[in-house]
Amino acid sequence: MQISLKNSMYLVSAGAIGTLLLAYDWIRITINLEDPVLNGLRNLFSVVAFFFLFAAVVSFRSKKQSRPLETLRKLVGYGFITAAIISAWGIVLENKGDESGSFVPQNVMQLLATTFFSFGIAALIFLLLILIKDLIYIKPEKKVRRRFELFIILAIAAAILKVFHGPSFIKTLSDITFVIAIILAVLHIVSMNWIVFLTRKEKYSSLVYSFFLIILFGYSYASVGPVHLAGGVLQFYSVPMEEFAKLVFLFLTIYFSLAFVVTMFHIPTSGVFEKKKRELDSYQNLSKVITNVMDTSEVLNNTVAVVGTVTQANKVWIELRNGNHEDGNTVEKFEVSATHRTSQYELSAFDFSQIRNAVQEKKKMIVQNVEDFAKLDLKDFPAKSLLAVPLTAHDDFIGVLYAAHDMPFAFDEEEISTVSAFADTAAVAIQNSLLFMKSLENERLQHELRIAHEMQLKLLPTSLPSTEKFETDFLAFPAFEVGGDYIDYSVIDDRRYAFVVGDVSGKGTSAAFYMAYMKGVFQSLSTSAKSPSEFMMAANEAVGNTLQKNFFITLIYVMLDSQTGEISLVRAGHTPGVLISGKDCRLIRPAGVGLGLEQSKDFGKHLEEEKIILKHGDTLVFYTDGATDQRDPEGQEFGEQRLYNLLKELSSGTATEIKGGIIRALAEFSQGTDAVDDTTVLILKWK
Amino acid sequence: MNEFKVLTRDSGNAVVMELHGFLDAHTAPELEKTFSELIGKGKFNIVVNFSELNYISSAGLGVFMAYIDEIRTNHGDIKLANMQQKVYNVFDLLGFPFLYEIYKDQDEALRKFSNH
Repeated sequence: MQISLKNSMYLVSAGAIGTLLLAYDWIRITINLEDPVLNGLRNLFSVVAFFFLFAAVVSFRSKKQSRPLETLRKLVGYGFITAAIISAWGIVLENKGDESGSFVPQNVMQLLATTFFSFGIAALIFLLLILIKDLIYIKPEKKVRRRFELFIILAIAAAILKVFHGPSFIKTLSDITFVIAIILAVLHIVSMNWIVFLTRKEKYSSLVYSFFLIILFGYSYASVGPVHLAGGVLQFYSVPMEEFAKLVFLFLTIYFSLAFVVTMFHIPTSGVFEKKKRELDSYQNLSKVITNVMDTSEVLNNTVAVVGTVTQANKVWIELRNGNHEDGNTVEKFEVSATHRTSQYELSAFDFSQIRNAVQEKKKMIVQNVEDFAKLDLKDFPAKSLLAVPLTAHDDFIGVLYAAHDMPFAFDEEEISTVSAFADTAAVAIQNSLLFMKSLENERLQHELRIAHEMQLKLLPTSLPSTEKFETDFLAFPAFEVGGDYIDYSVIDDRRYAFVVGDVSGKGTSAAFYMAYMKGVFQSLSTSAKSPSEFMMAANEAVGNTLQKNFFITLIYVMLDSQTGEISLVRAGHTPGVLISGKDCRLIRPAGVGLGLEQSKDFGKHLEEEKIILKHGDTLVFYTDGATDQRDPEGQEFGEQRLYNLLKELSSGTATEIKGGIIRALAEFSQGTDAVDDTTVLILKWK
Repeated sequence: MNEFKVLTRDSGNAVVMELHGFLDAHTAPELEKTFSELIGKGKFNIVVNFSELNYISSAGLGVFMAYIDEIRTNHGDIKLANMQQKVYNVFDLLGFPFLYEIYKDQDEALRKFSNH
C-alpha cells in the first residue's frame, strides 16, 4: 500500500504542476503574454513536472527482467505508438503553425491537446529510455553504465540549458553538450553485449527489429525538430522537453543503426558461439549427472548423449571394462555399455580391440580417414572419422569413450580436447555410480544374510528338555551370519530322548544349507531308528547321496534313558564327548567315520556304539571344534586341555551355570578376537 | 596370510606330494589343482608327505575326499605319510585311518606302491 501511495503521489504531483502550467498557459494565450522571464520559469516548472512523471513511470513499470529480443519487441511497440502520436498531431490540431515551425494554441481545446500530447510523448520517451537501459545493462561493464548515465545527465543538462537561450555562450555550451551526448551514443557500439548472446535465429529477428526501430526513431527525431508541427507543439509546451526528446530520439536512432551493423557482423560467428554455448550447457548437464545420479546406466546414457550433442557425432558409445572371475582367473572383457545414435547390435559386427589397446596406452586415438580405418580392420565401419578417448578414474582404466562421424576429419583440436575433458569427468561419475551400485548390492546381500541368519536361528531349538532326573543347556554361536553347526533333540518315546551335535565341513552359506538338510534327516530318522547305530547308518546314506564329494558332516548322537540314566552314543568323526564324573574326566570316543566320507557298507563296520550309565552328579559335554579352536589375541588356541580343565572346575554347578562358565572363559580368553568357526556346546547333567 | 605350497616329484611308479604350511578353505584350491593335474597326466599312485604341513581344516580334508574315488577307480591310491601329531589327530578323529592308509614314513608308503 505504501509503495502504491508513493507511486500515486508522483503522478498527483506531476498532475498538480501540469494543472498550474495549464492555468498559466490559458492566461498566456488569452492575454497574449510573452514575458521571457516568466516563460523561462514556466519551462523550469515543466522540467519538475516531467521529473515527477518520470518517477511515476519508473515506479509503475514491472521490475521483471526480460530477454533482449522481448525488449526489442517492446521498443518496436512503443516506438510505433510514439511515431503514430507524433504524426497524429497535425490532424488533431488542424493547424500547421507558421513557417518557422513554432506553434501557439489558439483555443482551450488546442491548449488541452498540447498539454496531454506533451505529457504523453514524455511518458513514452521515459518508457523507451527504461527499455534501452535494460538492453544496455545486459552483462555491462562498469564503463558502460557510466557512459549511459553520463548521456542522460548531459541530455538533461542540454535540455535545461536550452531554457536560457539568450546569451550566446550558453547556446555554445548547449551545443557542445548536445555533441558530446551524440558522441556518447556512438561509443555504445563497443558494448552491445546483448547481441553476442543471441542465437543465429534471434540475430535475424534482431536485424528486422533494428531496421524498424531506425525508421521509427529516425522519423520521430525528424518530427520533433522545430520546423515540424510536433516540434513546435513541444517547444511551446516545454523547451527542455523538446530538446530532451530530440536527443533521445537521435540517440535511439544512432544506437539501433549501430546495433543493426553490429548484429550483421555477428551473424557469421554465431555458429561458433552457439557451439561454445552448447558445450557449456552440456558441461553443466554433465556435472548435474555427476552430483545427482547414482544409477550407472543413467550416467552412461547421459554421457553419450552429451558428447553426441557437443560433437554432433553420428555415433557415440562407451565400452566398459568388466572383470569377471571365472574358474578362479580374472577374464577381462569389454562391453558396450551405452550407445547414442547407434546400437550394440550394429557395433557387435566390429572389433575395436586394436583401438582399445592403443587408447589404453596412448591416452587417445583419432582416426580421420578411410585408409586408417582399413589399417585397423574397420574398413566396413560406417564412419569416416573416429575419436576414442580413455575413461580413467583415479588412475584406473575403466573403459573407452568413442565418437564417430560420417565426415572425414570431422574432429578438430578443440572438439578432441572437449571430449577428453568430458571423458575425465564422466569416468569419475561412472566409477562413483559403479561403487554405489556395488554397495547397494552388498547391502542387499547383507539383508539376505540377516534373513538367512534369522531363518537358521529358527532351525535351532530354543531350549533342550530337562526332567527331575536330568537337566540340559546349550550354547550355539555362529562365527558368521550363518553357520554349519547343528544342535537338536527329539523325544523318542516317554522315557528316551535323542540329542545330537554336529558340524558341517566348511563355513557360511553352503554349510548352512547342509545343516538345514541335516535337521531334516535327524528329525525324520531319530524316532524311527531302533538304535543310535541304525540312525547313524541311515543318516550316512541320506547325507552321502546329497553332499558334494569334498563336504562331510561330523555328528555325535546320544540316546538318553531318562529313567535309568543309560546313555547310548555313536560318533561319526565328531569331537569326542567329555564325561566329568566326580574328579574324573573321561573322553567318550567310540570309533566312527564322518558322514559322507564313506558311502559303502563299510561305514557301519567302522561304527562303534558306546554305552554309559550316568551316576548322580555326572556331567556330559558335547561340543564342536569352534570352542577349542578359539584363539586369543596372540594366536594361541583355547585347546582341548584348557576345555577339559575348565569343565572339571565347573562340573559341580547346574547345566546353566556350566554354560555361563564356558561363555565367560571363552570371552576372557579371546579378549574380543573374532571366532573363526561356529561354536556349539551341549551340557547334560544327571541329577 | 598363511602360506601354503605343494611340491611334487616322481619316485618310482608313484608321485610324492609334499605339503607345506596351512591347508584351509583359501589354499585348498591349489591342492585341488595339483591333484587334477596329476590325474590328467594319468598318475594315480600318490603319496602325500605331511611333514611340513602345520594345519589342516575341514575344507583341506575335503580335497582328499574329492579325488579318492576317481584315483581308486583307476587302480591307484592316495597314501598319507609323515603327519605331525596334531594333523594326525584331525584325520584320526574323522575316521580317516579307516579310509586311507596312513604311514609314519613316506618310504614305507612308496614301498607299498612298488610291491604292486
